[in-house]
Amino acid sequence: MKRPFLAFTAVLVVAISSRWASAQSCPENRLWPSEQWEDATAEALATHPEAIAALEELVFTLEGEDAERVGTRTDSVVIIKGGRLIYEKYGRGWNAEQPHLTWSVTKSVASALTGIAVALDLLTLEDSICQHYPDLPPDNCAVTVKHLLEFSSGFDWTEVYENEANQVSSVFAMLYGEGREDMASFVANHPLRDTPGTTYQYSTGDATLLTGILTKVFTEDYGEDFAWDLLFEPLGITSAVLERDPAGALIGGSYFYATPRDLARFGYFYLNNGCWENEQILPETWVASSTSLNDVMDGKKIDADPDWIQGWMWWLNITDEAKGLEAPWPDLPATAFGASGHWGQSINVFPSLDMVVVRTADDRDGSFVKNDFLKLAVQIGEGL
Amino acid sequence: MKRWIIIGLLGLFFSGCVEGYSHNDLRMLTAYRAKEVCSCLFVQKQTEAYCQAYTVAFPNLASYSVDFENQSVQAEALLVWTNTARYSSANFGCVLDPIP
Repeated sequence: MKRPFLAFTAVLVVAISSRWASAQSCPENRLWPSEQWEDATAEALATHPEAIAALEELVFTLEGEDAERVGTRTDSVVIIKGGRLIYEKYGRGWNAEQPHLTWSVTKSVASALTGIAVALDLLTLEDSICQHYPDLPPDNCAVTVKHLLEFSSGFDWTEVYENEANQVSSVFAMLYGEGREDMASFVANHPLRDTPGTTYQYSTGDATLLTGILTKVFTEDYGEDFAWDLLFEPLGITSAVLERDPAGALIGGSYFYATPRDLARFGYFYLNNGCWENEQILPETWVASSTSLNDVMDGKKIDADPDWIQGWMWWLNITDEAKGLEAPWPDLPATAFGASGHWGQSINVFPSLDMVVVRTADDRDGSFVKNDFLKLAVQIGEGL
Repeated sequence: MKRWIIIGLLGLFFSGCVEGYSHNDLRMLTAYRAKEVCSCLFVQKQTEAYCQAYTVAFPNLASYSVDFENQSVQAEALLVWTNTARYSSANFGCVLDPIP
């Protein structure tokens, strides 16, 4: 599948680049992992042995029997500084070749694909969901693409997972129950609880409806492999898997898989303002908007903690007392942002430090503190 | 005999007495197990032992069998509820069969 599409991909990249030419700001003199990340792990180990030992004690020390599922259960850590691989370690039987389920990190991929769709004029932020899913209840037509991106659809949705009664979970019903054959339609037919655009509620349903729409708008012109041709392959991501429902729609809330090194490529792509190898694949303005406070962050919230701070399906590290926002990683720069998924998956981007930190895991008991991990991870990059 | 009474009571308990969506716990748990074992084995390329442990869920009543030749996984609970997931392609991973 890969080679016949290379020329096709190049044409598309040029098409997007030229449309956004005025907004181009690809950083100069960057190091790109064209084939592989340049390996600087030995230099990092020689420079920061204490920080590396402390990080490994924190995240690679297993507790109890595997079946007990207690404590921090790290499957991988990959750290990039200045475009070089400075730390990489795998645990619990994982290796560099295996794509890892990222759960809700997928939502940040959905956000990127939305930006590409907007740049190609395939849809607008103001599009009603009814333009793409007709025959919905009329009130639901007030929900727009932008509302989905900022988790403000207003659907009467219950975002709980395995620690609650399975039957009340809208997520379980969508992925494994009555909604699973056409997940986006299942979401879009939910009654509204709040006026769209007024209330933040983190929702795997919103993200899944968004990728249902994306699948429709991309497929006609770009074929079913659009995510690979337009996003993954231009970034050199060769391990990407993105599962879909029986209706053929990508499941953009949950089911993106990639190797940790490839996840780091996605982070590095955002660190470089949507550029790759000096091509503007995603408009810089899209990256900036995606990683800034979204329009509902200072309004009503449902089932959200003060450190749940989002742009467009990216997590932010902003403190703003007036808005009731408390940075989730207080020991890290306020400009940090990240993608985050169930059971400990994460990609964190630190623009001011020129770093990307990836972790995959199977944390089941909620004891892992990401701030402490990230604080040690960025120490490994000091001076390199 | 006692075993069947317990199974019958569990089946009644999990077959719709909880308020919420229409599919009961065991229907969804067989779907969960079939789908996630399929992806764990054929997408993540993990071992059978890893995938068995990774997909244990509460209530732990969904057993499964793997057809490696056809890259599919069928899960079953209490001899009543079954679901099957199968590997589709390198890009798109695993997908559940239509609702039985």
